[in-house]
Amino acid sequence: MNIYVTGIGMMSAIGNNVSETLDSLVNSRSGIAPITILNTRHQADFVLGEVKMANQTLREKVQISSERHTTRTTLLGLFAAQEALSQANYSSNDGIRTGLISATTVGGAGTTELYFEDFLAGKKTANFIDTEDDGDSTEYLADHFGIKHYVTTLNTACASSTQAIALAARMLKSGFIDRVLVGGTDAHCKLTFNGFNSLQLLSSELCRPFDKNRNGLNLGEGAAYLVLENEKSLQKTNNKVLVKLSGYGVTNDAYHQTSSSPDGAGLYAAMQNALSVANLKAQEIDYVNAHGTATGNNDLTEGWAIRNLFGSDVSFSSTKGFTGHALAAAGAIEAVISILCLQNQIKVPNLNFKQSIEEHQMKPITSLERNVSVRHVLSNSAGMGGACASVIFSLN
Amino acid sequence: MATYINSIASIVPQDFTQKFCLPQTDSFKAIEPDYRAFISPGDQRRMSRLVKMGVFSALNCIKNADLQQLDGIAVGTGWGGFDSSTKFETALIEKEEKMLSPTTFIQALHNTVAGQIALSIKCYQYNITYAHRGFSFESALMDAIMLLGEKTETQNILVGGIDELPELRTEMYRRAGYVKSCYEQVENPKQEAIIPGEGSTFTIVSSEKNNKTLAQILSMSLLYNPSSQEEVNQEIISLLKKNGLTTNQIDLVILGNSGNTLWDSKIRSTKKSLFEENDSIYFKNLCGEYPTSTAFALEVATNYLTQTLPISMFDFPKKHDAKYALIINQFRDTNYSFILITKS
Repeated sequence: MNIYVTGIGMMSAIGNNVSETLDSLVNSRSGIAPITILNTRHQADFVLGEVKMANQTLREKVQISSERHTTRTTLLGLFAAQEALSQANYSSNDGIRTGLISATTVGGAGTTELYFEDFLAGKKTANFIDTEDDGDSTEYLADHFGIKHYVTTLNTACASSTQAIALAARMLKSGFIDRVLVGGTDAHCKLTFNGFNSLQLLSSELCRPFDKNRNGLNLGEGAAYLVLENEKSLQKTNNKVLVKLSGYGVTNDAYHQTSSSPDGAGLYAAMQNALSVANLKAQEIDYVNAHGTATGNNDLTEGWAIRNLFGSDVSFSSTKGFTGHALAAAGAIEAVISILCLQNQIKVPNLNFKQSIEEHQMKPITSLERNVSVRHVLSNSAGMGGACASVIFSLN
Repeated sequence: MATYINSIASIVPQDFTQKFCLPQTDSFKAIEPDYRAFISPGDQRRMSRLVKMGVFSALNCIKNADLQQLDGIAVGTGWGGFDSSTKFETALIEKEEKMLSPTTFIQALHNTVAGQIALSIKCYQYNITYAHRGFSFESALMDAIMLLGEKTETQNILVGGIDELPELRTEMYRRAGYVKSCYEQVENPKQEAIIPGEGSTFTIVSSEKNNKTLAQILSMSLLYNPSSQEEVNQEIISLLKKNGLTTNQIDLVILGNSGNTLWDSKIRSTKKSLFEENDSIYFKNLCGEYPTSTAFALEVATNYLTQTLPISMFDFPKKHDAKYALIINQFRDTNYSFILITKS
């Protein structure tokens, strides 16, 4: 059964919508910059991929009439979801069974920490307990857009939204729902920023995925959503098909809580499963959008996994140098980028790369490739807890 | 594809092998085992209480099923690593964002439980963590049922529901006015409040019936944010109809009234309008309210059908020929779930 993508939406450090995103990608314009929004003592020490709008501005732009509290995670999600749904001509009362599968790691933690110190001191605070969890942003989106046939949130760390896309495809195939809004949203907060800093995974400079001298990641924030439909839904909507979602694979590396196995066995298996669902051979994949966080461990192990499956000449890049690593939103953001590559017959570069990693000698794409044949794109995500996921998008 | 429950194990506020008890305070705490039976002291030191509860009940469940390996792991947790995340947040404030230890940050990740289970048994298969309020466990169970249907060969999927109630969460709920000021049973509440609880329940669902099989899941459905009580009744009737059943054939209704007068208004009417004559159990009298409490209800249902429910101060119904149990849960009047279970 075919699964069709009929809408995409995205907001990140490289643009507030899909066309701004494409413009940044083809002009090699990174969104990583000095910190101006996140309120941290380390503002001068690191760079981030931020959506350069404060919450109040976001709230005004998205024009919310409801009194209900909106976290930054929710606000970013609303922008991207709105864009995807309008492209797919979504209506909540067209009789199509529609679901929302959303991924987040931060959830409402960014709002909680605004009040947490006062709370601990026994002072009266605004009620943050109703929005502190992961389900909050999802339910806000579901209520805002009137989606109710299936509503869930998943959190498998940095693999979350790629897993969400895989789940969405299975749900559409099962016929339990016929159309789905799927993706992820994550906003910066001190908790995750300091968490990654405590793990010594942050770089103070622009990140260099797959480079020999990479020294850590740049965190990003944002949201991306896709509208997927099965045949039954498409017959009703008559939507223009952007691309097909042809394969997916979800596995666990089961090696270590915070690092991947030496040869990236988990990701290798996820990619292999995705190829098998798509009924494609490795050599039919024209471009791989790698997870490529620019940490020592990820790029070494993922590089091996890609090389072992696709050979050393494969066309691949990590786009974390554009957006930063947007955690649970990363997979959906990179899904949108992969779809843009298919739609525009381009392959986007891996910024800041100079020298290959000695062990596997893998060399990513370093400048934009135009007018190339791109029929099938595979996108990877991996996260702590051994989470691994891959999806494949194909021209219709 | 049939879905069999081939094993179930838990760390919850009740001991299913003993007598059920009432809560001592304004919250229900899980009765913790000696973790050494499944987790070495060294590993225990590296794990948070939540992760220990999850890994222990998961490994216990796998052992009860006589399995060495799994075909997938699906975990639901509404509250996740809240205790670790607030510990990290507290340290961050105290130490002014400097020299922080990453341990509590890593433990704060929702998928640490599912990841550690995979690591413990070297399970490289499907692994997912749902974090959606009162749909967390239900989403995991639905995913597992879907996985069973996707392959023709036998599969065993571990499904868990786990939530931990640290004192800080109880305190937040207290200050927000969500916690009862004095004890009352959930079916006759006067307060707009709950007694919070916690628990970790893991089960093996399988496409194959064997000598370990405890019960069979016939159907389940979820209802998000119903606008009327009629919508809830319709969903239940259509679920029963799909299985050729009517309300009077349900031997036991396992009800998720939370004790909050406001949140329980629909489920109270459902009991009255559809199941007035049926035997019922209000399971949150036993475990309190938490996002994945449906997992606790599943163990109650299984024990009822296998006639192994412990003695209780609540006068539990007993039937020798009981065939069907229906779990009806609601979480904050937003997440409604229905699970139909039968004797295998």
